Amino acid sequence: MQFLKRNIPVLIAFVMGIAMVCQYYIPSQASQDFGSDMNIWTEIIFAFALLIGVQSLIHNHTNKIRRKQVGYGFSWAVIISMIAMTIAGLIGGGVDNTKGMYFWMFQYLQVPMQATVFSILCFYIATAAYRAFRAKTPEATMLLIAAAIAMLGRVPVGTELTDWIPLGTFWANLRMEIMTDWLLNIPNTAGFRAVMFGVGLGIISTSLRIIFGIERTYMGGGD
Amino acid sequence: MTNFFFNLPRQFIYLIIALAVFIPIILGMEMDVIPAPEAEAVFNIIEDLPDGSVILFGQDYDPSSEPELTPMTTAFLRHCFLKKHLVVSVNVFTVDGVGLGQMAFSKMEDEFGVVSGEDYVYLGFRPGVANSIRAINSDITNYYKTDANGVPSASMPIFEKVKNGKDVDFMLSIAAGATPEAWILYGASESGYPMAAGCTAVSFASYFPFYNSGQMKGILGGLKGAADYEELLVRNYPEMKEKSMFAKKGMVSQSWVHILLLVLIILGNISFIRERAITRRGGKA
Repeated sequence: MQFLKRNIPVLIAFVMGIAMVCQYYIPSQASQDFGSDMNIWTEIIFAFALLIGVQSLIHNHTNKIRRKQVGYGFSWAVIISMIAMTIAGLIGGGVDNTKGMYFWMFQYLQVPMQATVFSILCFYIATAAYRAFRAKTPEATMLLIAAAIAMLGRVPVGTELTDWIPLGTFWANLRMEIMTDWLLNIPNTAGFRAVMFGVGLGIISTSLRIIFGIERTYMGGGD
Repeated sequence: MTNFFFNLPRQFIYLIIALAVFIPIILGMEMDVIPAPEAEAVFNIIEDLPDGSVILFGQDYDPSSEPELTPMTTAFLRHCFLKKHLVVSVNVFTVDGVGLGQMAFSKMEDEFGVVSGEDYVYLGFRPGVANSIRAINSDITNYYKTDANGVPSASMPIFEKVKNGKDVDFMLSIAAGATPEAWILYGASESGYPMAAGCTAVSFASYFPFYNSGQMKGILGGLKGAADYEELLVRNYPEMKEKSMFAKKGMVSQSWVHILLLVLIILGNISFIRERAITRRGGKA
């Protein structure tokens, strides 16, 4: 059992990991064909993962409803919506039928609801800015000033505040849009580049750990 | 009264933000927009390409980001079709976004009379970001056997000119996630096409390293990026003035919300300094 549960997945990860790294750097037709075949295999795995996801979602929410846990009404909403969208898709076609029921539900229910939820962030950001964006330390004060300049420099009313400063002079550097460009192109680029190098090295080390079987958390069990 | 400003209730903040958003939209207010250099760069590339060039368009977003990114998509596609470019579009981000792509191209069909399979093709979503991008590099119709409407792609006239990534003259990924980075890694670096990104305002700053290194030729950031593009469209194609320009209208709301945020931050900090001074004096905050 240990062999099936632990050794086989580690072996598959090792062989496929090494194979895909080699495939990327070999420009022959055979290598390209192998890559295309692997693309199809990836899609098949995605399809099974989707099935597991749906099963897990239904299981989770039916449990909540059965136990009448706090907020179980939302679980009803999830299940009813899922069934309704599935039926609409099966009867009238999916997004390929722009006149069908599924597309209507997508356009007039899903899009406005998802967009609304995301847009509500604006209100939370406003209250968070009022309560939490405090100049407690010199670093926080610098961040605050940079944020204020960038916020003004990215909207027309901000640029209008300083558009009386003539371009082509030294003082033009104080125009909002020019200060914003400087912030984005110099300190911001330097900071993000450093973060990206760190992330890149992290991805390489994690990938190597998975390929060589050191990192096994993807198999579950917490080890 | 002073205490009220230093302890603004949450509901009051929500109300003034809502007013700042809705009033300019209801009154149809507009403001002049100064296009940012990174947005102008994207516009100039499309403008300078010869008519009928091949544009690969990654419509990589879902309904959550629709209000911010659809105006950008609309402005970009309008420009492409005004220049009679051929547009090959995919979504490598999520299956949820395919309907939005359908809606965008349906709007273009109404406005410009473009035909699917001839002037553009929308290939929809297939799982796996890297897989899809690398498949486009080698053979588009071999991987995307049909378009998003289920029409077989191999017989489409557009694919007589576009076989793979090598035939692409320019690529733009309008994205809610990090797919522009994948397009650089697996697409532009292998096929060699120049590319740019359109993104939400929150991820705008993170693409500047790519822009400054030349891996991205331009960036359209959030609603401002869309407003910049709309402004450039109107300047270069006066007939576009008649079309609905949502991003430019949205900039007034965004301006007032940003000003309000600054006022709230200043009030919050005055309140913080005041409380700290009172605490230091040994009084009750």
